[in-house]
Amino acid sequence: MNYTVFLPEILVLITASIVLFGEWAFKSIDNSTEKKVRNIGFVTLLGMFAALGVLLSFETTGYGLITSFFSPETSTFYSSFVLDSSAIYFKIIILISSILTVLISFKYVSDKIKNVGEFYALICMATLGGMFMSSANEMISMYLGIELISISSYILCCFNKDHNKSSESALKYFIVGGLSSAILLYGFSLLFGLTGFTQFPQLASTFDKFTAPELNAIFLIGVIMSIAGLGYKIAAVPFHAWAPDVYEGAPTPITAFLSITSKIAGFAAISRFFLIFNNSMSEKLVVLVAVLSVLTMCIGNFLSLAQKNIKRLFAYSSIAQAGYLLMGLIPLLMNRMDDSASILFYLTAYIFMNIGCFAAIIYFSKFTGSTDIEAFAGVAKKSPFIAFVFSCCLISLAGLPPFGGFTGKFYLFVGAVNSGYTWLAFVGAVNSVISLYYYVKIIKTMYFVESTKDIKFELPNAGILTAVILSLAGILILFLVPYPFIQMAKMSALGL
Amino acid sequence: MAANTIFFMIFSLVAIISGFVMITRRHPLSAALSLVVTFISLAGLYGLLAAKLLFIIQILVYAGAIMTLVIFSIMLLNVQEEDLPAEERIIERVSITTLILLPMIYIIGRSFTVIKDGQFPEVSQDFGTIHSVGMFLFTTYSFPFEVISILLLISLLGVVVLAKRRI
Repeated sequence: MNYTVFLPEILVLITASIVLFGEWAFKSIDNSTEKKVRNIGFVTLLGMFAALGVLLSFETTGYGLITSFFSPETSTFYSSFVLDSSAIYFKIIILISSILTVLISFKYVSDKIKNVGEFYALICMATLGGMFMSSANEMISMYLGIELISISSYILCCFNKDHNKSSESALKYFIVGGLSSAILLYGFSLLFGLTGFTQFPQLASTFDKFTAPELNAIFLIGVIMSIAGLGYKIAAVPFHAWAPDVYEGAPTPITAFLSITSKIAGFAAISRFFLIFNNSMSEKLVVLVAVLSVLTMCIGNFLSLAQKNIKRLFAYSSIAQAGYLLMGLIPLLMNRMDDSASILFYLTAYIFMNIGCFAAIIYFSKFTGSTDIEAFAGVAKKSPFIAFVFSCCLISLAGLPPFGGFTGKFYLFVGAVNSGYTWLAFVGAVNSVISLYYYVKIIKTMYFVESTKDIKFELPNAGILTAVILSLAGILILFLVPYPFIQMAKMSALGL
Repeated sequence: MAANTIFFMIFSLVAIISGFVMITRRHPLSAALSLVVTFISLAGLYGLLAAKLLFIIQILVYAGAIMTLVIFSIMLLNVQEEDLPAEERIIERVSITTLILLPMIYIIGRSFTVIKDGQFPEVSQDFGTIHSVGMFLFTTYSFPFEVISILLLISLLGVVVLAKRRI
């Protein structure tokens, strides 16, 4: 068996173990929490960078590194685990988003969180779950990947033990998550009961056998239940109700993690799950996905308009973004591989714009002491650079040039139009205009509303500053020189 | 009627009735006890399907270990009747949910009539034995089997983080 294919996962797991079991070794001499957090966070970053490096070497050399030492197979454990080009791409963006989440968490963790080792270990474990989801080639492995990321997230949500809202968010997430897992498992078990296989390639080949409408109906129920279970992971309407409360109550770095890493992992799982459908089935599913996409976009955007708390606003905004991303699944289902690269590209841009926003939210809310939008009044004068990057990220989220969000949305819409869903692209464009309203409202509050309180701002620490600079660079580069990245996404989408 | 069918009827009736009792009882303890009855009758159904290992696990783990844990935590929390929130219109809620799920039961029931012989591979002789389940666990499903160990570590970690007293 070829063990190098999960070298990145092993590295992340080792990092988690070091951080978890070796926490005592990171105490500094003067017993300051800040230094301890910095040391532990640094080790976490180191492990994730090592895993990222291995993945990038897989990406650039094809499988050169693997094949030169070992057998050329890229799947292992009886094909439960595959490492194709799309899995590599998804893992790379999952790792980048986790690295950025760790970067923005330092200050927050040393201020508010007591169990530092466990916190970073759980982030590693959740990342591991996302990586397993993107390479799962079999229903049970995929389910376990989902559980890995979900259970870690439930625990991470209530790390802020002093706040009632944090416990509330964890409990709500746990109950909704448990229910969704049950629905997902029911769907999977119907599919397994029909075919007798759990492996996706075998599943795909057996569906043609079922011609009776009754069996087709069961199959459809199984698929819809599975989509419902996976849809909760990406917070698609109507499985979105948990998102606002959970996002509001969770510690802010974890909110960032849920809105980025968790969502990428969900899309990785969905795109892998959709591979099993043959053409007759995928025609029905395309309609279903289009309806889900419209609902998710519209409801996400309309509910965002009324939000007063910025974390709740970002919950609804991330629901709306999931709607745009669902649009990218349509070319995938129709086997138009060129256009299905758009979802990979938009997810990449999505990491950078969201992490820029959350870095700014963490930084500002530390000094204003609240996450209400009104509390952000006049912060632009105190910290012009961070406010500037925040505004850029918001404009990018709304999908305006000159940022990566524009390029990403452009390709998503082009993909929908090429697949014959012009009306869907139109709805998406209208929704982008609506979203502009609430994104610009935040910018207006930061720049043009006078602050009533006199708050002193300290300089941002290195972690936040790095994340902010990286996110600005990311969204600019993805706009200015998108071709290498689109080429990379296209190459990866071929594996889908 | 074959003995198999009679046993199937008995077990499924007991499972359905005790399941219904479980969601309608107000006191958590009586709900938990009727859940035990559901689990045991489910174990009977597994036994009828010749899934021997599943039969043992269902009784040992679900009806035994997990339910003991549930009952212990209910007793430790010492929930009184008056602490419980008022439940309104329980019968309406249950019947509406049943109505929504009825079409699904119909479709699943219908589909059994159209399944022809030979459409599915036949179950092998040693189906459901400890040996064959073990073979599956350590060959085809060795990857999920390993992932479960990480999952257990996470849940252990979660218990410690949530229940540990503040230092």
